[in-house]
Amino acid sequence: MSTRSVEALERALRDLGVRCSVEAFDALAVAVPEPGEQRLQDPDVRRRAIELARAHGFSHLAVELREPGHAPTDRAPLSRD
Amino acid sequence: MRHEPNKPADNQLREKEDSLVRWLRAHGSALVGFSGGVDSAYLACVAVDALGSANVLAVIGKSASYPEAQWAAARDVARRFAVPVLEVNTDELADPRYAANPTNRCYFCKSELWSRLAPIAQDRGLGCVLDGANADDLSDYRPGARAASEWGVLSPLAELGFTKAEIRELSRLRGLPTWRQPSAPCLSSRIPYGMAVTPARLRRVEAAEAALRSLGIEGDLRVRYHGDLARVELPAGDVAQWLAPDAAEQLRAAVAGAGFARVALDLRGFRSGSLNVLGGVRADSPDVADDRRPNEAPAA
Repeated sequence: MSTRSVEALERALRDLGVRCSVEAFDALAVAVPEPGEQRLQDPDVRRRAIELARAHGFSHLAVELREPGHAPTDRAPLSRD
Repeated sequence: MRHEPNKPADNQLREKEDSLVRWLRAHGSALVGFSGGVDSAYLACVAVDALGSANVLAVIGKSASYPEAQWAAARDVARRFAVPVLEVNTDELADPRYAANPTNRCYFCKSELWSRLAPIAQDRGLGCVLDGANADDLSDYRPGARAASEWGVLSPLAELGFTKAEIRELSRLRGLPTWRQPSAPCLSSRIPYGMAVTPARLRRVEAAEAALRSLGIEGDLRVRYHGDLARVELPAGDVAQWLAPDAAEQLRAAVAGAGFARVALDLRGFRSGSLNVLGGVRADSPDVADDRRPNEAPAA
């Protein structure tokens, strides 16, 4: 998936009110939420987020579950292994 | 305990089961590839009723891609329903064509399985080798089915038109615990096509799924392997509750404990064949169907 698609989805999710960054793995988009971000608990927001992911070429959208107290950039790079 | 059918629909099902009994008796004796899944458990139990336990052997093919929980379910059914059972070790991961994880991976797995089971049937003088493929499976092209065909394996449930729903209902009427068992395809189905299948990866996936079950999650769930990241698919109706902070942390910790550095929850929930689209192959391609069929596990 292109960097452009990742950035576009990230912008679209932020416009939806979901504060997150996006990482891609093939057609999987992983939304990495900022601390305290909980808007994806709202079913309407979730449904819209999935639609946006598809509109930007992703077949799957997952939200990373972060350990409490994590730093915003405290994550390993997404790799195939 | 066996429950007697008592409704017209049940009578139709019983007639269908009678046709299966006749089919089995016409073959005299049988070896059943037995995974402990819905289909093969039902078939093995009917075979014992129809032929007598002396004329049936249910064989479990154990390998790294066969979930331990499924093995336990198979042993439980065999014990409770007096199904003679034999375990053989299979080693599809030793075949580099399988381990490379191509879209026809199931063909190599099934070739390995049936190459072990067919000689057992011959040595014991059993009249046929059976798998639990059902009528619903016929709508897909399945590489594993080609291997079965090459080894002369017969699929009476498919041949006689048994659908998955009918097998579940008939299993329920028989008191089989498998009647509402979720589909349990082999663990390799959690790894995207093209990414090598290794024992270590399979163990991580299996441990993560077992940890999720220990949280009380029922129904279809999958832990999809994306390297250091595990993508969890839960029943769609369960996704919301596991996004709540406390529950999400429980879920994350359970999967992380199995060795994944990062854990993500799929927002759509469980999708059969979900990894197919991520491996560069469309989910509706006729070339891929292994995550939609429990019989694609090492033992049919």
